[in-house]
Amino acid sequence: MAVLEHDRLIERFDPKVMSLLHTLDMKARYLVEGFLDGMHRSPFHGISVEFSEYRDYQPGDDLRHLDWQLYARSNRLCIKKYTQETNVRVYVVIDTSGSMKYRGSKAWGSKLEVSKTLAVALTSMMLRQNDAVGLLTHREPSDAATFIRPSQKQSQFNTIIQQLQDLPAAGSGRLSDLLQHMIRLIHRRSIVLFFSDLQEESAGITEAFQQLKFLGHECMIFQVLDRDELEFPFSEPAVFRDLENGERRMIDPTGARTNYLKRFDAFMAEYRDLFHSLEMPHCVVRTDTEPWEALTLFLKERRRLM
Amino acid sequence: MSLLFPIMAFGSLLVGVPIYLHLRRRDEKNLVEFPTLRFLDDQPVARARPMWPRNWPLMLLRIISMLLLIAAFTWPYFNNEQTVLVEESRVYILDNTLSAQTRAGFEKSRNRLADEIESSGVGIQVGVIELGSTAQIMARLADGKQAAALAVRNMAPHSERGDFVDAFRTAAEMLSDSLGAKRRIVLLSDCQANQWLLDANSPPFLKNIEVEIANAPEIDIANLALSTPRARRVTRDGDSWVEVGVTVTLQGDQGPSEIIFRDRGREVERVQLEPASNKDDTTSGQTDVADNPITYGTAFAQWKVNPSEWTAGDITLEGDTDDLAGDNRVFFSLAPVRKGKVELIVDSLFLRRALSPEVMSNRWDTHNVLEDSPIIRSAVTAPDVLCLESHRLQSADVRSTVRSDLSAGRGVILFVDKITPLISGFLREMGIETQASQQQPTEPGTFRYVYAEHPIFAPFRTTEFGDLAEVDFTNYRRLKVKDATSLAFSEAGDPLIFESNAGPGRLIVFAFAFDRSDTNWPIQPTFIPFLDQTLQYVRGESTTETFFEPGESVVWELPAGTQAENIVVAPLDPSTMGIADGIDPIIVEVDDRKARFALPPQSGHFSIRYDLADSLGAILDVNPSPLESELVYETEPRVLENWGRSPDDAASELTRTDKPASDRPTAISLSKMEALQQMNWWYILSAAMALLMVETIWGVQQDK
Repeated sequence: MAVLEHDRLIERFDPKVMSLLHTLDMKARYLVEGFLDGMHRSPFHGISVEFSEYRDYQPGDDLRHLDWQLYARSNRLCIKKYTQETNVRVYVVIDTSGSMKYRGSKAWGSKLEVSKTLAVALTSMMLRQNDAVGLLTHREPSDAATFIRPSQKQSQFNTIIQQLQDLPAAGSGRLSDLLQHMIRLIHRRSIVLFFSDLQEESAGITEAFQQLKFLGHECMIFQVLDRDELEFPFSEPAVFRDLENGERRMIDPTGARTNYLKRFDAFMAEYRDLFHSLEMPHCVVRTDTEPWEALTLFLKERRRLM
Repeated sequence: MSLLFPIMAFGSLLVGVPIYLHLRRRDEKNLVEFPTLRFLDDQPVARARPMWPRNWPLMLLRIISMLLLIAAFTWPYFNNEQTVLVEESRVYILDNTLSAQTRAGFEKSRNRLADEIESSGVGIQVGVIELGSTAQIMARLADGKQAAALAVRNMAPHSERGDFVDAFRTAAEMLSDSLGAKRRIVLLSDCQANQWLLDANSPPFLKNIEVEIANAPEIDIANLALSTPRARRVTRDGDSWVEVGVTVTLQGDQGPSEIIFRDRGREVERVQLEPASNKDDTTSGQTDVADNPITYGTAFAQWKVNPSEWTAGDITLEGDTDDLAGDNRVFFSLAPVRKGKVELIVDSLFLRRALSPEVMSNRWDTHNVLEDSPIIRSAVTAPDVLCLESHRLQSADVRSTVRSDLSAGRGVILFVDKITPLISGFLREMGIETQASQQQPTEPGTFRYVYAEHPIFAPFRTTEFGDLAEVDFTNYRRLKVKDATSLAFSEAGDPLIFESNAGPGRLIVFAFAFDRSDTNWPIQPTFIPFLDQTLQYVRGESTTETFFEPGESVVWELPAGTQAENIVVAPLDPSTMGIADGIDPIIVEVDDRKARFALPPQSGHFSIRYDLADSLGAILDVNPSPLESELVYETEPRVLENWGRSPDDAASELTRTDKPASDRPTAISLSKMEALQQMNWWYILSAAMALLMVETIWGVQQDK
């Protein structure tokens, strides 16, 4: 099991650098390389395959699998045999509701950008260990969901990047739609990585997550939120316009903050309880800080599921 | 100027455009787009004014630019001392057909109309339509009255024929765009009854329009008229004669009269018409009106002519009392005879006899080819037309000759008297197929249908040359069209005469032979004229009609072998056969071997010359319509009710209940063009444009 040194990791993440990187590919690489470099030992080295036994070399065997050290020691040509780990099917699901467009003043990306970066980083990690990765999201203005079937091929990485690169956030009520699509589309037991701010009434969502659980899928919820949502740091009176339905309200933040934070905490508690009761890992990802917690959670859960 | 005026209303809307643009471009201050608005309550804080103008000078500049543009374009419609209120829009229809000249009626109507226009009140818009062969707008409602009156005074009497419906439709269209509360059509016409007949059941188009018929009908009409001259060449005792007939129309009490026949300006015959004998002299007659009967008669004359020269004559009627002089002269012409060569490869004795020198002298030279004689072709001996019977097609030499004649543009007439596989194959090559069943009619039958518009049948539309319905067929070959045109059908529906499209030369195919076993046609009076007409047609002679009415539109097709870029249509002086004075020649461009032009509104001879050549190409005989001589009047036609005229009561009701004229949109006394020429208009428009330019530059600077 990999050991995470938190302090070293923090040093290896700079939100300014992250916001300057334009392509998803570069962002994901920056994230993954930084993350892996901060560990004592790569968690992926030999993870996907496990040594099983030796057997004698037969002409035609791949020379890469010859154990040269053994040959040096014993003058015996032996081939290392590995056991392929179980193929895991992972679905990355990204919510593209209008609210995911939000980017606070301190954030290194909008909630959608952070979700996409994390999703690509995780995709890269999963493909390295021969997991099959697929994608489900929603692209405006079409009403239909965009679905990429899981695959272990390395080309899948580019396919997913291409799909996510210019994915816009728009509309409302996408979350429950996506969950319903998930239920219909996934038949085999799978891992679902769910990126969303969960800014939707929880009734329909609760039911959908319960169904996913009942069907045997393992869900990891990455709730992406902005500092502004969590702390409500506004001070000047302003017109606030809802990103999903366009509704406008005149707000004086000094008077409204207390109530807002109270309601927001209640909203968060409701989801925490829900995911706790469903035994689904739930990670809040802030758009202004490093996302190591999310990656660590993923690795931890990944190992648990093996 | 009223707000109801469309330009003003539209312009007012435009004022809002710069204001909207100005405010639209202003950014909203203190707007936060937030994803969790549902956790926030609306608070009653004083609302910022996002729609308040930010840049007053720029916005004012835009508004002034727009106002100037609106002012420029509505300038001609502003009220000023020259503007008048329009109470009535009135369209006059002045009938300028031939019959309107009865008892100088046209001159009276014209002068009356000009006076009325000049004296009409300032609140009356006036338009004028002249009814000739078509309805022409002489003055529009927006035109000045002086110009309209002048145009009316300059009108000359025409000899055309036109129907009222055309003029009324044009007038209704003019009134549909008029400004007056009251809309009126005033007809200045003799109101000939037959002018109302066309489109009597037309859907209503005169809604809310009053119609006034200004003239009182003429009574006790006395008129002598000539119409429909017919001329033909005949050969008698080796001499060439011209036979001319003309229809004489008599109406009312007549004094002694004379009909004078002239050929190329020289009097050739004079026929006396005695009052007592007028009605007895008629060949056919009918009575149209009980108290003013119209009687038709025919006068004939004949004289010797040189067949190789043009015949261009006229027939004039001179009498003591005649209320309409314009229909007393008609014109006719005959083209010189161009002798043709026919080669006969037939056994039919009737054909050989019909084309013998005794019958066709001065018209056709015939060469008979016997059964075993060789067929010789050279530039000198080549005939214009080859006539043959199908059984001779068994010879390869004959088939080859037919093909080469057609390729060379020569005419061929084929009589199918026999069908063999070889002949069937040849006919298929010509676009005609033989039917499998060759069952013959059991009873003699006649023509069921003939293509009467085709040149070979055109002369037989009247019975002057005999009646084609008397031709019986007892036997014919059953053929059908593959790539040809059927020209006549039997009673059983089988095509009897075809025109093939096989080559540049014309090919007419008969499904029978001119033989008594097949048909009785050779003993009918139509036989020789038909044969001559068919030979002329396949030879490539021009078959375009040369009889027209004044003002008629003509499509003139160049005859075969003639090349020209232009044709010149000019009045003809028959005595010199040169161009007569009085009417300017018309030069028309030829397009796809056709020239389209409208004839002048006068009757007479008109020559056609190709590319300014001196030689005559054709003579057009332009004569008034015989309908114009039927001087029977109808001043209260029921057809006006069909066309939707408001009855008098309804019209006055309309005037009462409609808005007062003073509230209606106004018209201008200046024409639009005059208004546009005003310098003020240009100043305003230039200022608006300049301001818009400044605004654009300023706006760009502001954005930067």
